[in-house]
Amino acid sequence: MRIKVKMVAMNGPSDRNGNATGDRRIGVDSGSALSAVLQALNVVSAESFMVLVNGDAVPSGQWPAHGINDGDEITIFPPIKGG
Amino acid sequence: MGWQGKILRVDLTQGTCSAEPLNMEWARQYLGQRGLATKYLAEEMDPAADSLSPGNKLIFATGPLTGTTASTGGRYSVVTKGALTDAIACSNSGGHFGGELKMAGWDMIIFEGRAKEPVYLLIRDDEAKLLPAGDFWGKSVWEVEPAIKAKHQDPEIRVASIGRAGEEGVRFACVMNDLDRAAGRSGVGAVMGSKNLKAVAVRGTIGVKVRDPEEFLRAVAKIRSKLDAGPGRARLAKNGTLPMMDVTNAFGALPTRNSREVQFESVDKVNAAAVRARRRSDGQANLIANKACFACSIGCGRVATIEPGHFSIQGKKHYQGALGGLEYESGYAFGPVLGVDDLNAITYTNAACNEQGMDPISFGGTLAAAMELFEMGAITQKETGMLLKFGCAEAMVRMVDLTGVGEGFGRDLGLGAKRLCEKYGHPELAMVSKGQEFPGYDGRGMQGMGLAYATSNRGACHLRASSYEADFASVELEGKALVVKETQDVNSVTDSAGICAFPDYTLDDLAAQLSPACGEIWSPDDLRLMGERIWNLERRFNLDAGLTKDDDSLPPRILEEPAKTGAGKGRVSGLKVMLPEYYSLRGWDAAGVPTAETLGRLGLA
Repeated sequence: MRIKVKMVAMNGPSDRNGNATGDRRIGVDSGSALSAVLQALNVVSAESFMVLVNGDAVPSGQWPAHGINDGDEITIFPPIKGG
Repeated sequence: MGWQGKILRVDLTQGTCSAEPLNMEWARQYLGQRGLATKYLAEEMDPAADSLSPGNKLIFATGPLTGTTASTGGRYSVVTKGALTDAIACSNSGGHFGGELKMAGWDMIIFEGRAKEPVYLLIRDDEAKLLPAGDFWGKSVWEVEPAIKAKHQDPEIRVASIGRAGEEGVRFACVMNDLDRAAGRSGVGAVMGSKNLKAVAVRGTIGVKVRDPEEFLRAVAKIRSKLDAGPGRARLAKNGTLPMMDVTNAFGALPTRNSREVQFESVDKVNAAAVRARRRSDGQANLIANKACFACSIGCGRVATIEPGHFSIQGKKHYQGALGGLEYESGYAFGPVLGVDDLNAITYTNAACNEQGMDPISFGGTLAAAMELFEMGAITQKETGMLLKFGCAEAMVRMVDLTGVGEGFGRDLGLGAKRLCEKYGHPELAMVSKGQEFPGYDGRGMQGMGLAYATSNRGACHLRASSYEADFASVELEGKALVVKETQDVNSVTDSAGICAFPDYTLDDLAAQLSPACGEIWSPDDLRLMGERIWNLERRFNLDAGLTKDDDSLPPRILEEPAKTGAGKGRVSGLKVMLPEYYSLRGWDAAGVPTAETLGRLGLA
């Protein structure tokens, strides 16, 4: 199945973990958990990134149990603060 | 050490300046800047006094790390009773003024009374005197700062001043320094204007000493290395705070058109990528450089240009070069919350606020309320003089010009959103807490931020607490009260130390630098308790000023109208659930009053 990944507010073409920025569509195995998708994207640290699935916030503790479906949109952004 | 041990008291009514020793017992309990100045204010003035009366005091205060080599150690705060909020006000600024004041040998300046005629204060190390400012009155920040340097033939003088807005009593007027750095919030510039004080000019050559230089430098180097290696510093240096625009928009917490919506359809025209895009007309990008404040190793400051030929700068030569650029809050306040997507007009409005000394967040929030009042027919062109519809960049540019000089409908806008909406019969349309306009976060998607706005001692604020991570991780209420309370206490220490919030120093980092600077042994827990003490001191000032638990609130829109989209879709603020828990965590009673036990534990009894 294919899902859309949006990388928001990253530092540049790739961030320090090598993640590409911007939007892209990727293929993942049917029935994949969010944590597996994030691992494949090299987003493994809950301290480093926040995640939305179809616009809803998913706490890091729920990543292993959160199933991903065909057509889902995952938004990933760093835990930046305001100013 | 760390502290200079000396404050300058300026009696504007009598026209006198006198030096006095810093109360070191208070310094050890309240550190400096925000905490220590609030202690002096609370001890010396009646909190119930009118904010614009001579009975209010105005304090410029540095912290123990101001003027040192600690990264971002250039901050100072202006502390007073706020003209916008009638509550405790503490506005923190960077640039170079704070470091210069400390280098001149002063921890703090306390202004009291009111001058009969406009004056400015000139400080050269130990020497301080009030001078007539009649020639400077009526001038903008951008005019008065170079004029003072030229008059005293010293380009190294640093100046903090008010523009026309502060003179005209605009309720959200700032104190500006170094042309585009601001002690921005709560109307501290209006208080300065009410005292007929146009500017403070300072040249310092004495320097700042620390107690244990070797240990201090070791700690600074270690902590700075950690800061340099983190992703936050690189992000701030490259893009400033503007990347937050994409985050809040994606999350659905970007207040749009006076918080009627929480996502902005034209965000791509005003975000971090937009300010880097080269223009067809001149091949330049909006953003041309970054810059840093005193001792800063981040450099989040922006330098920008407006496109030649843009309507906003026709006939305004002083806007046709490099200007202070957009950060997230100004980008939000002149963009999404007004429905405006004209990047040039947004940049102009930001610069115009700098020129006349106005808080961008409050100006944007007030104009957003006015636009909603206009669209519903509560005000008309008879009052405004022009169409005032959401999305109209021309209206925004015209209104910032009028507000900055106190003319036309700008006089109404200068009241701030709360007073404006009350005047026209719709107080519910003011997106404020304690009379202060919302920064760029919606309290329905970001539940912790809503609680932070409602409980902030200086009115709605995005810097008093730091619930960002908790909010972006979950829209649920669980745990938010604790995060808000704990980060409020930590940030109270940061704001009192003389450094900026952006290095995101932990209490361990602060203790490691403050202890050798001051010669005091503080553990992180000592500092945490100090932060709680400062927070409760501010709370007590507000209660004595007449505020009650009813002021710990949010507008009906946030409490009753569900968010239409985003992560918080269908939700309203859970303030009614979170607030009792917050009071309990604080050790306050059901009326939001600190208990005797709490005051005793904090040394405030």
